[in-house]
Amino acid sequence: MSVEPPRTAERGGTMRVVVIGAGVIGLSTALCIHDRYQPVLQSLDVRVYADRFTPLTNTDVAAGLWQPYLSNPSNPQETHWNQQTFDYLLSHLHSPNAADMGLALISGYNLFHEAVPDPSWKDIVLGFRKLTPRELDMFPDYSYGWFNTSLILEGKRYLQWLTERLTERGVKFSQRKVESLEEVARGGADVIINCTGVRAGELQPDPMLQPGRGQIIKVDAPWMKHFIVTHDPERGIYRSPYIIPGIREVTLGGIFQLGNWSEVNNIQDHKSIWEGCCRLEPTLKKAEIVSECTGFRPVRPQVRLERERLRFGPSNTELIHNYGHGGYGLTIHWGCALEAAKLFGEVLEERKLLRMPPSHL
Amino acid sequence: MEQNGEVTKRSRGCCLNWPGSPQAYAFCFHCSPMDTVRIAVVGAGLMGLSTAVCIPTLVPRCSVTVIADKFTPDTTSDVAAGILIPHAYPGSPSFAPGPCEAIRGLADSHGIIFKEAGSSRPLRPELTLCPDTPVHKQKQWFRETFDHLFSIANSAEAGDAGVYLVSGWQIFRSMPTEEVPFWADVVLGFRKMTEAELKKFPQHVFGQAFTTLKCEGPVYLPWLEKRVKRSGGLMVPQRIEDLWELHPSFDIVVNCSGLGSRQLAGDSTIFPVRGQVLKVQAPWLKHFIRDGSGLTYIYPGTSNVTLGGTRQKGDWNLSPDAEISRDIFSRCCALEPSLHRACDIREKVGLRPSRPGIRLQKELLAQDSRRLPVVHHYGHGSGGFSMHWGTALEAARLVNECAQALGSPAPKSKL
Repeated sequence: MSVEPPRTAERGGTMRVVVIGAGVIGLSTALCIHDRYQPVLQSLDVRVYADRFTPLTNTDVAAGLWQPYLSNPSNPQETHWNQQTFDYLLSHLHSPNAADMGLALISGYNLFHEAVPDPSWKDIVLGFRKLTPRELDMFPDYSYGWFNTSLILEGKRYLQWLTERLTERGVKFSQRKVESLEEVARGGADVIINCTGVRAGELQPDPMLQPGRGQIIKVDAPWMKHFIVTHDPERGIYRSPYIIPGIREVTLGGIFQLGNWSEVNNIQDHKSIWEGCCRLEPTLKKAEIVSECTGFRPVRPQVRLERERLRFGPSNTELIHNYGHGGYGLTIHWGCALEAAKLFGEVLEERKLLRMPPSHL
Repeated sequence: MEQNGEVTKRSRGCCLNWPGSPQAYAFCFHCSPMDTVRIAVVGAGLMGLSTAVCIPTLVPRCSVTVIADKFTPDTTSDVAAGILIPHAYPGSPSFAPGPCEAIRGLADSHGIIFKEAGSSRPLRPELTLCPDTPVHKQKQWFRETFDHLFSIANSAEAGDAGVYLVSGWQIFRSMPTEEVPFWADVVLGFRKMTEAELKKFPQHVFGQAFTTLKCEGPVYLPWLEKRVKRSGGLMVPQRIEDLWELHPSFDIVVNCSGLGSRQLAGDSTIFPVRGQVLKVQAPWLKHFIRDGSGLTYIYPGTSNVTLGGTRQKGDWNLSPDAEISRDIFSRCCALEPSLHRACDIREKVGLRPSRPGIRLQKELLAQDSRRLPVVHHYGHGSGGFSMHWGTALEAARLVNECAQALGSPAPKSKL
C-alpha cells in the first residue's frame, strides 16, 4: 500500500472521508457510506487508513458466529443493530455470492449448567428451541440448552470481499500508522470515521475501552457441522469452551482475559482450550491443528457510535466514532455501519452538501 | 479338548488354529466341523460387512469369510450419501396396506402353488405375494441403526468410522399426506419448519427440520472391514456364480449380494433403481436439504457434498449421463443458489437394489443329498444406510438359528 501525500484543504462539493481502521467495522462502514452517498454528492472521496489489513486484523481471528451476548445490551439500540445485521446477511444468503462473502447458515447448540431465560435474540435467529433430553445426553456436563440456526460470517473471507467491493468503487487504501486525529484532519479530511477498535485509546484516551484477549485454535475437522457454545455464568462470557465450524476449518476457543495485551499464544491457554473442547466433543481428539492465534476484543460497556467535532486550526473536522464492539463485532457490524452512515448524512445536511441526482432535476 | 463340559470329537486335538485368529481353522478331515461354524458372507457392501461384524457377537465359535467381486470403494454403498432418512417401503402408511398374512396363510392351507407363466419353476409366494415390510419393523430397524450410529458419532471413533450428526430440512411443494413420519421420534429435535425458515424455499409450502446422522460409505466400509478382520474374519475377492460353489467349504451362507441375487437366489423381484449423483466441493454448506419427493437432495459430507439425484427403474447403466448431471445441478442450485460456486464436480452412479420389501429370510438349499442353509439379507433399495444395523442384527439372529440347527443331532431346519 502506498502512503498518500497530505492533501491541501479544498472545498467545492467534494467530501473527503477518511476511515481509520480496516477491520470489519472500518470496511463495512466505508462501503455503507459510499453506496449511500456517492450518488447524491458531487464528489465523494473515501480512503481507508490502517496499519493492519487482513489477515492481520482482530476480525481475522474471530470465529464469525452471529450471536449477541445472552444478556440485554445496556444500549437498546444495539439489539436493533444486531437484528439489522442478521437480516442484511440473511438476504445475501440466497445469492451465489454467499460463499464469496464467507457467509453460510449454521445450526448448533448453546449449553448451560442450569435453566436460563430465553435470549432477546431468540426470534431473530431461525428455528430457536430448547434442547431435547436425548440431545442433552450428548453433553454430560450440561443440563440445559438451546438449538437454533444462525449464520457464520468468516472474518478473513468477508474482509477480502469488502476490500474487493471497495476497490471496485475506487476507494483507496493506505497502509500507515495514524499517530493522531490531528494529523488526519490537517491532511485534508472533512470527516474522519474512527474504526480503530481495541486501540482507539491511542488516538483518544478512553478509560471504558479495554482489550478482551482471546486465543483460538483452528483445526481441520470437516465432519463438524454444528457450533457448540457453552456458558458458565461463574466464569463469564467467552471463558467457557466453544467450537465453531467455519467454511473450511473449525475454531476452538474459550479464552477471555480483560486487560491482557499479550499478542503471543500462551501454552496454558492452549491447554485450556484443547482440553475443554475435546471434553465437550471427543471426536476432536483426532482433529489436526492448523493454526493458533491471539486477538483482542474491543471491550466496552457499550459501542461508542457518536459524533464529535474537532477543531484544528481554522477548520472543523467531523469525527464519527464507531468502535468498542467487544466480541460481537461481526454480529452487529452492519447495523452500526448504517447508523454511522446516518450520522454522516447529518453532517452532509448541516453543510448543505446533499444534492438531488441529475435525473430528478 | 473340553467345550462346555462335553468332550467332543476334537479331543484328538488335530485341528489347527491359525495363529492369532482363534476362530478360523484349517479344514481337517478327521474332525467334525461342528464346533466352529464356517460362515460365508457373499457381498462386501454395507449389508455384507455389517452382517459379518454382527455374526461373531451372536454366534458362538464361528469363522466368517466375506467373499465378493467388489470391495470398497467400488460397491454400490460407496456411492450412496449415507444420510439416515428412511424412505417408505411398502407396508408403511404411504403405501396401501396389503392383506399379507391372510393371503399367505390361505395359499399355504390350500396347497396353492404359483408358477411363473411358461416356466415349470414354482414362484415363491413369499417373494411375490406378501413382500411388504411392516412399518413397525422399519421403525425398529431404523431405531436400532440410529442408536448404534449415534453412539459411534459421540465417541472418539466417529472420524475413523465416518459417522457424524447433520441437521437440515425436508421440504415439500405441496402438503404431504403424513406431516409427521413414523421415524420422527427416532431422529433428534424433529419439528415443523417455521415461516421464517420456509422463506428460504419460496417454491415449498411445508417443511420438517431435524438432526440426523450421516454415515459415509468410503470411510464406514473400510472401518467395518477392519472390525471384521479384528475378530478373525477374512476377505476373499472372488466372484461367486452359484451359491453351491460354497458347499462344502462353508456350513452357512449369508447372501448379501444385492442385485446379484437375481442370479444367485433366482429372485426376479429385485431390480435396479439407477441413481446418479454429483459429488462437489462446497464446504460452506452445513445442512442437508431434501425435497420431499426424494428426487432432489443436497447432503454435505466430510470431504464433499452429494447432489442428487435420479430414480430410474430397471436401468442398469453404470455410466454417468451428462444431461442428467446438468439437470441434477440445476435442480440443486434452485434450492441452494450458493451451489453455483461449487467446484470439482464428479459424477457417480449407483444401482439401488430395489425390491417390494427387504428380504430377510432363511432358506435351506437342497440338491440330491446336499444341504446348504442360506440366510438372505438383501433388497434395501434406497434405505440401506437407514436400516442396515437393524437388519444385520436380524440376519445374524437367523444365522445363529441355522448354526443351532446344525449342532442338533437330527438337523431339521424349518423355513
